[in-house]
Amino acid sequence: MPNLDDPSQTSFYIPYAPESESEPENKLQEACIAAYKTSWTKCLHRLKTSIADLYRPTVSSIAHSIQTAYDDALPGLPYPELPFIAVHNVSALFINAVLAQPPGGVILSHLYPSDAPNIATGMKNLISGFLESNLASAKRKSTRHAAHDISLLSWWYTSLQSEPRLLVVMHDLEQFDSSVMQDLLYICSTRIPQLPLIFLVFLASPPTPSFIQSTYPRTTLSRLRVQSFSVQTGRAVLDHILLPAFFSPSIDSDLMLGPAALAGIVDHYTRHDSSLDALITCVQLVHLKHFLVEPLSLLVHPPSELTTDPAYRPILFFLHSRLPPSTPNEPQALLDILTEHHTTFVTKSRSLRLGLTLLRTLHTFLTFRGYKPLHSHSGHVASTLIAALRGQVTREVKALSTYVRKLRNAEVIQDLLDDLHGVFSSLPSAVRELQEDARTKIALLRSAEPGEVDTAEFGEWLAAYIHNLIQPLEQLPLWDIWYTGSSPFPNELINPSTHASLTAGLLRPFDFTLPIPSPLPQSLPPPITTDPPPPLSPTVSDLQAQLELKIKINEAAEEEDGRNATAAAAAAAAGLHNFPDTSILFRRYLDSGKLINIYDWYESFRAVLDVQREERERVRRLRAKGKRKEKGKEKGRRSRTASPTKKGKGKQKAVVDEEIIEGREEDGAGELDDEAWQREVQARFVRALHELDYLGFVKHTGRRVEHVARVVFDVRDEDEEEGTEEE
Amino acid sequence: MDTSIFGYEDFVQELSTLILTYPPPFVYIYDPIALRTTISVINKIITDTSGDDEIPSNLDISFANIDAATCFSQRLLFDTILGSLLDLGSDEDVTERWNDSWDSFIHGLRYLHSKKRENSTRDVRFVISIEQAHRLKEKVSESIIPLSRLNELSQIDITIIFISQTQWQDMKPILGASPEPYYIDVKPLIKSDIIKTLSSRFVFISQQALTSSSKYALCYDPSLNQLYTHYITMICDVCFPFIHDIDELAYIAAARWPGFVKPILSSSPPDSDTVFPSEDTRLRLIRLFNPTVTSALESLHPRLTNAADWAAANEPETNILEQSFGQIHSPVTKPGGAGAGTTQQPDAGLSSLPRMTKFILVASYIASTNPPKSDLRMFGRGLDEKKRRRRVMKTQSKAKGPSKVPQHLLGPNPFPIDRMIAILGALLEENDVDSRPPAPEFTIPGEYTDMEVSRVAISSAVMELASMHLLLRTSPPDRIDGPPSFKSAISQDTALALAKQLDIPLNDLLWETP
Repeated sequence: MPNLDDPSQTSFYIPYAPESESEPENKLQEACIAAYKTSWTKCLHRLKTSIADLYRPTVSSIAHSIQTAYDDALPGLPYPELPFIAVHNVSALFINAVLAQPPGGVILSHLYPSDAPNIATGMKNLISGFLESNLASAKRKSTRHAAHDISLLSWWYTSLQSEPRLLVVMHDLEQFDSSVMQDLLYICSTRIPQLPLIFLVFLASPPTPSFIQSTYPRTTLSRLRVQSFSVQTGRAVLDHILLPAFFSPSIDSDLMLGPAALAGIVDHYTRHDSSLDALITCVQLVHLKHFLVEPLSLLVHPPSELTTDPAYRPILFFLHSRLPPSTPNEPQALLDILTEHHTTFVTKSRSLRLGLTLLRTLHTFLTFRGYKPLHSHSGHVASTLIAALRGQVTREVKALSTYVRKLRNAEVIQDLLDDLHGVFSSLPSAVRELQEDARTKIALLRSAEPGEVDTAEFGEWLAAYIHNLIQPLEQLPLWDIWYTGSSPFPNELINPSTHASLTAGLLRPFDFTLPIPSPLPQSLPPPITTDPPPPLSPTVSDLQAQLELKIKINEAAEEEDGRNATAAAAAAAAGLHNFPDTSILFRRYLDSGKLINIYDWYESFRAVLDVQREERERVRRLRAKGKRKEKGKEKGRRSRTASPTKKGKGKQKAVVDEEIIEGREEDGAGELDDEAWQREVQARFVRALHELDYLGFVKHTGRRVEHVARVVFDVRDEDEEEGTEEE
Repeated sequence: MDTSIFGYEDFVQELSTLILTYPPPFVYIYDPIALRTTISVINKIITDTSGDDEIPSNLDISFANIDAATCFSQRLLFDTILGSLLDLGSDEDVTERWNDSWDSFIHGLRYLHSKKRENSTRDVRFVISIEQAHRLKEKVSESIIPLSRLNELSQIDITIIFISQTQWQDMKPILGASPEPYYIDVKPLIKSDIIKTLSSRFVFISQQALTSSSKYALCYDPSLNQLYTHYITMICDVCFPFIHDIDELAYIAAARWPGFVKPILSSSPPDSDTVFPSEDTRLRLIRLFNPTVTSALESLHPRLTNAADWAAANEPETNILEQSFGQIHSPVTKPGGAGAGTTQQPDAGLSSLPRMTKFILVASYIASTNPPKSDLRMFGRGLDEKKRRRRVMKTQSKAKGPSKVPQHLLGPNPFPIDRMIAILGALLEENDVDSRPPAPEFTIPGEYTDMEVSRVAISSAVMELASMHLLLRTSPPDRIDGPPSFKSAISQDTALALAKQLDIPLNDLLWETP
């Protein structure tokens, strides 16, 4: 335990220690986390693959420019230009992709904005970056050249056996001081082509309006050969990533994104942060949330000792309660049923994804031919996906098939059939077997004579087929294990409203200390045999009613657990004097006008603290008395200590007041106490005031002494209003 | 370039005579236009005079040419001067350093001088030329006086030449601490000299191109020499009114030439030796390509793109000569706009920014352009839920005094972030409601917007824009008291384009309509 009174420390680290060593390890939670890790790793791998696919063309053309930077010079230029490859819109992912495989024959030196506060340091870091990369030849005569002298680099380069390119990688060009950069580029440009320097710079800004053009003067620009590249961003990237990573029929995904989660991710991407790093974080959040709130989610990857270890019994019970009551209660049988349902789910979700892919292929084909089958906004992949997951694509399917029916040109039809056949032949064999009929049909049509294809019939068939494939997954049993359904995206976690959270925290501090109810069944539910005997052939509504009943029972049990904590919080929230100091001060702040007189504020704060003190005193006294009485007489104990709050107002209050007066008289040191109390209140006031100041609620005005200005004017809830009135 | 430059004859005469006879200790050469060319001429003069044994002189000239921009510290200055003087001499095993102070530097100079005199039968003269001398004032300003007095300080035969784009009076130390230099002002080159110089370079370029592996190697076939002269005349006709720098003209010429000769090269059989075009073809070519030179000038002179990319992007069709005059289109594919020829996607600009970032940029533009007192009138809403937009059209009284310059010409005003957030809220409430996901938990009108503008993503977007320099932070970053203030850094055109994407009627929201 650190010494908390040490004034030389500004902060302390208190490591988490479980309250007791014997705290039982929660196997269910561990299994959940393990299942999450496995699924997320798989998903991340898929995402990274499709991101790498997306970046590959740009990365390879950058590598090509680096390779040919000095070979491709235009003849007749008056002087050699310094190759300067600017990459716009970069993200960390992209930089990693570029630097993962640097082209051969290149030595790298990295420069970060903090490396170049002035020209001498900048040059020194640039040169030492190269020298350190090749330690063998870096044995330099230390006095011959200064560390920031470009001649040192020339000297070092001539001492090398090979003739590598020298690639300077600059990160965050916008953050470099532009005058330092001008000099640095000038100095480097005086040594080319003897020193084959190449600059690769990463910028976060978009290519237009160009940061380089607007920041650097013509004299610098005329020494450079600026080649601009830009990393793909925007809506198209999202479509490019989402489709192969989540909705390709060939992938094997553990957790399917539901429409609500997908809509949340898309909204966050298009509205707030269109970087792929943010996209990955969002997908990860959805995974985390699913495994946190769905009790059965650990069955995505069932632990090996699920059937044998008694620690997993609750989850099996819970699983059993989700299945028709006639299901056997054997662990192994339950597991078999689970596997069976999983297989069904996988097949259905693959069909769904195949349907989406076909829909997409059709749409791309028609738009490529110049048709506009759908509205512009519903043409985005993401919105089609969301609609399809919600089961709302009947209109789109119909529209697309209408276009197919009206196709007349035999060649166009042939192309379409080729495209569709391509989709089928790219399927994994397991899926292909299931869709054998459709594949054969398309293959037959393909081989038919051009002009003989009955497009009307084909269009009808295609619409029916796609419609059949796209069926909502929520109808399947136990779907919520592998599908996030309409569970919303946890937007508040990634993009909270600071102002609202701050005010809420200050107004209702106790709501934040409530324990989060765990979704995992903590105790065994009542044995199934006590249930009323199920009807012989239960209807769906019966089952649902039963299920709801069971959920209610579970909830009731959980509530019972949490009730103590809630009750304590409610009691604490009853009076303002039980709040933390900052909250009290904030309440009083909300009651005031535009300008707050500090002294008045202090007085009102002290009034609350006085109540707090009296309350404490009374509790202490009551306890002491209780003990005394315990010794003396056993009788009246119950009625006195029962409730220190509102019950039995009149008489009790009088008694309490009496006691306080008594107590003060007994203490005899009242005045001294009061003085100390006064100081304590002042100290607590100043501390709370500073905290509010630090949070930005207070504005110091020079207009009036001893006054501060209020900056937040919020309308509080009505009940809150009343609560304070009562004080 | 290894060819002589015409038009410098007087200058060469003057300088070489000075160096070879009785040079003034301190020479100041002023050339505001083509410094690079002048420097190459000077280098040539000195290498000629020092290396040429034909000149009957009893002089051995050691020459050091340094660049003040690269010598940003005193040590570098000393090292570079002594280093280049030393390299000329035979003495390699000098171990002593003379770079820690002026005293030791002068000792070093004297040591080198005496060393060279020992080895040579002739008199030894040092010539030190300093390019971009005006940079000395920024980096090592205390060295200007000793440098200008180097001759009297070192007591050896030494001449120092400052070459600069600024005049001596702009960098002269106060109180007359430096002696007056011998001034040489370089005359700007006249058009005919430039044409002569550039045309004479063809042979050299041709040799260079044929040995290189460039894909444009064939463009400089020796038989095209005469066409090149006509071509350079055309380039100079178009560009000379705007540019007098010979290097810039050469740059534009190099970018246009491959496209210019492409029709000829492709029409002639590959094995023929001479591809010299007829007079008629030449006239047609020049008439065809004349307009494209202007666009080359527009995009290459400000370096909106580089020459190689421009040349690749503006290659004409091969059969352009066969097209009849009526059908001829200008061979420019992209009329010299920004980013022509660079590998960009069309969607990579500001339009690919996230929606909220675009809103922030528009809000920042409004906050920077409108006066703060107009906000309530612009964005305030009455009880009747109708926008009350009482915009006052500025009526300029013509009679009284100088008219007020409109705000969008004066540049952006700084604003506190709170004001921008408030404007952002108003914009969102007016223009963003339709695109929002459903949120049944917000019931009070405006509550959603209120939550939205105080979200973390908004603050982080503002910081990100500031780091992209699309917003400029005007308050120091370490101040935590009070809101930070920013300035908008986007142009009016950009703001209008963004507003159009977001369906914001920006022109109605600006206090002074442009």
